[in-house]
Amino acid sequence: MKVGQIVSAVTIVFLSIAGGIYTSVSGNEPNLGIDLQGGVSVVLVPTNSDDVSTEELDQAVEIIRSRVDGLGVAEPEIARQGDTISVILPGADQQQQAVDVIGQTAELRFRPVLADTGVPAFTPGGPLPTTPPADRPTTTVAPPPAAEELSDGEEPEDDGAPETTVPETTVPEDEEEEATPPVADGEAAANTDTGIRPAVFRQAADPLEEEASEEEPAETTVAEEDASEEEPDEEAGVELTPEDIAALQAQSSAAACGSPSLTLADGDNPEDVVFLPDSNGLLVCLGPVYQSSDDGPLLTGNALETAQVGQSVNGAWTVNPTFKPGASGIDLFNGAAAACNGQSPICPTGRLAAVLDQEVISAPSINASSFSRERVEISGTFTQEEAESLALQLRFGALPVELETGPVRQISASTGDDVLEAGVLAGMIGLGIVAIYLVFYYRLAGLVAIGGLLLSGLLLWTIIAFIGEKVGLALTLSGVVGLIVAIGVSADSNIVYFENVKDSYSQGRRVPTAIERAYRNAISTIVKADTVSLIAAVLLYFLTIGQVKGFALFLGLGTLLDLVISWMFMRPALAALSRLGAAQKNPRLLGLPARGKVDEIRS
Amino acid sequence: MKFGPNATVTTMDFRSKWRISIRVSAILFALSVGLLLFRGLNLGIEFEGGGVWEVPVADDVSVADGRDAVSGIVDDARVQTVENNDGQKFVRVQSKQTDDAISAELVAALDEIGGTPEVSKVEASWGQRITSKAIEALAAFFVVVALYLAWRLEWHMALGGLIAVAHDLLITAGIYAAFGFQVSPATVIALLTILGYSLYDTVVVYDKVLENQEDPEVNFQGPTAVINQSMNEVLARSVNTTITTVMPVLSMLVVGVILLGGSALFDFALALFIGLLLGTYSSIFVAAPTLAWFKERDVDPSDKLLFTDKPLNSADAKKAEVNTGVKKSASRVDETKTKTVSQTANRTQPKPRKQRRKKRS
Repeated sequence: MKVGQIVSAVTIVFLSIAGGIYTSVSGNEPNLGIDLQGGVSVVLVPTNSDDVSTEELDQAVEIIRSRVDGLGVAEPEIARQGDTISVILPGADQQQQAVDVIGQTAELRFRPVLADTGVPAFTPGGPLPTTPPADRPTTTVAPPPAAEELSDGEEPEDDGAPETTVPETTVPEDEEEEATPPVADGEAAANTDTGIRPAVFRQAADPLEEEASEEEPAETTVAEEDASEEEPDEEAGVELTPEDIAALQAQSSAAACGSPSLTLADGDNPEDVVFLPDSNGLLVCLGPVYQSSDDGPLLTGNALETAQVGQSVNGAWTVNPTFKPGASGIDLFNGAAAACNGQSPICPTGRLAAVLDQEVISAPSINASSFSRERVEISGTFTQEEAESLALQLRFGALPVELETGPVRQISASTGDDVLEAGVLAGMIGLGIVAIYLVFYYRLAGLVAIGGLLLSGLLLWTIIAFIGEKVGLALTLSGVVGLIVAIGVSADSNIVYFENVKDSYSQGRRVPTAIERAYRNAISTIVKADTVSLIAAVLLYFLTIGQVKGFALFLGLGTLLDLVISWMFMRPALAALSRLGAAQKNPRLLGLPARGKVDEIRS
Repeated sequence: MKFGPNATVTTMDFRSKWRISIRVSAILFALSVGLLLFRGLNLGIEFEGGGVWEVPVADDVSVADGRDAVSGIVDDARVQTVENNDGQKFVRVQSKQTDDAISAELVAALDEIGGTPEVSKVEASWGQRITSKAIEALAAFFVVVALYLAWRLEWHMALGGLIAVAHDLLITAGIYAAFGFQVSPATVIALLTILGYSLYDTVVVYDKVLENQEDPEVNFQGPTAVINQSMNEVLARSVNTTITTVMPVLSMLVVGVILLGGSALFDFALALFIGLLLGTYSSIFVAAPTLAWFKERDVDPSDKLLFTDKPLNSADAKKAEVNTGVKKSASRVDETKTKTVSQTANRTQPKPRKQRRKKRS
């Protein structure tokens, strides 16, 4: 037995035990599925139930399902129930998650940003958003980097306009500066087709752009002065009483929009100018949802085909939406892009906000007036999670119907504790019988199999509990039974190996040689067979939705652990047992057959 | 046949058994296809939608009470309790059976444990898209696995493995159609488990064939003899693996029936039990003869063995001669390649391993 083998066996034993201890200390528990522990049921009712078709509702069901799948493997039950949609999520303590998921069912809309008010939104009873918005993400929409090469770089000033947002990310006053006054329309327009530097964060690496940013402050100061006239108390938001804020909101945000007659619109009527909070709780003044003509289609999530997370050359996280082709897709978006990029009156800030459920989820500046539908990139100070969440919202934000959240109710398990207990009890009895059988048939070697099963059981439990806790993976009855079968398959790996050892031994090899030789054959078989299972698991996981996805995860986990245990534990454990004095005297203790007078081969 | 810890490798002739098994499998397969086409599966409420009966009840009414109340009326009831934010508790019963007579009976039965039930309809929660996505994924899986098996094993084996899987899945589904067992999402998951297991098992068995094929001492006997010997060698493993995988499932089946009198657990364990047994059976009795048949198509007609009663190797006819000495016959193989080595000779003589590993390493 080689040192490497001993090390690997000790490592895996140590890992399993550490995992078991971690799980019991941290209190991670598998997240049981709806069938086993019940869950939260939410009914979604269309706002205008009259003109909603069944197809639209079915479509909404699919979108909600993708969204929940996108969050994790929670195995929700989503079904159309008459004119409503019933959503059931597992776990009694996940009420908030259920409501959050439902809370985003509104239509995604694109509104031009008229101005940042910088005023915190006042929500009765809610905490005041008093923190300075220093960490607020600044975002830019631009063609992805390839377009950069087209840039002649002769007009750094123009590039500067959106880039002023860069240093501001670390400066509290960034939100005024973002509302950088328009660069002259002509200049901007002249520039758009040459392709503007998209990602603001590439500036530090580019001397040309550094120059540009030095030139900028002149312009931004103006903006700052403007803003401070209108919102004198904004910086001291911490000390404001709710009443002050409410008053201030009305006054200053109206002023920021350039129209003192405006009142705070409550709601999200597509034709109105509205104030809506961004993700930091600061109100943003937004124009009507963009449309190319008065009776043309609105620019909503319908125009989007999908959205992916990407990374720009310098490693910054980006979101890449893909628009649908045609008049209600990319053409509509380009209309808005041209308006914003040209900083026309309907989009004076040059920024276009994506609004979902009365919240501004992103308000990037538009860096070009025309995009091809697959080459749109939103860059900004995203963390990976923020980018993923934005992509998710863009992807699944577009429901064909607007839905209201109905009553949230607790729902009990359909299968129930009795069944789970019976299942676990039955599994234990079954595995007990298997253990006895293995020891009967393979004697001491059977212990190796049982040890391997224990280790893989411990590791599985650790992983399932961990994923259950972190991602909301739901362990359903199917999962429990699937795991029991997975354990059977890892017992098989041991059996394949032991049979090979017997084979090799009956051919006249000494025990240690047989153990080594048989391993080569056995591991080759095990890897081939397990690869088939892994292919199934990976394809099912990535290509399917709903419950099948959950199953695939368990299948993949079980198979991977089987490979790990077979590779790290099986051989050294058997070799160690074979060195016991008793086993050396009588190989039959290892489950090896009696051997006739065959000459031992020494090889 | 001796079986047990001390059993040595058997020397059965599988051809007679294959003759039976292929016929039985073909009949079962055809029957299953017929049943699926003409009788169809009894799909559960998750696939077809159904009715929902919700009755307000007192706090001490449990799921079990609800189940008792409706068990005589519908056999597919899914009973849950629901509590709204005001603390009002409901018993919620879902069933596929929604015709008026049954609904009236359910209303009456539920009336007894609480107030007047509210009746509504629920659509399939296992939507069409889950099914179509799963089918797409399966198609992709079959393609990728076929390519993988053709690469790591042989393309004949890829074909044989897929035939065995189709056999297992269709017959399991056929049994569901025949007995009208209701298909739940758990059943679908069980079928996927069977699919994975069946292929897994076939790969293990075929890998033994591959190993023996690379052994010149065995391979010269022709494909049927090689496969037959491989089946003998792999038999102990297959029996043991079946015991280890089926035992827990069998125990769930028994415990499920005794403790719960049939339930989701039973549904699931049943499909798995049938599928796991079929998976092991098909590896030896469907995949193996299929492979032998594929391989014998390239063999000279006079050497074909699969559908004959000819001895698997000529040595069997001349046992006495072989018994004269192991070493003698072994050396003769190397020199003249005559077919005089018996299986017993192979068993006691170590295989030239170096030669065998050459191809893969």
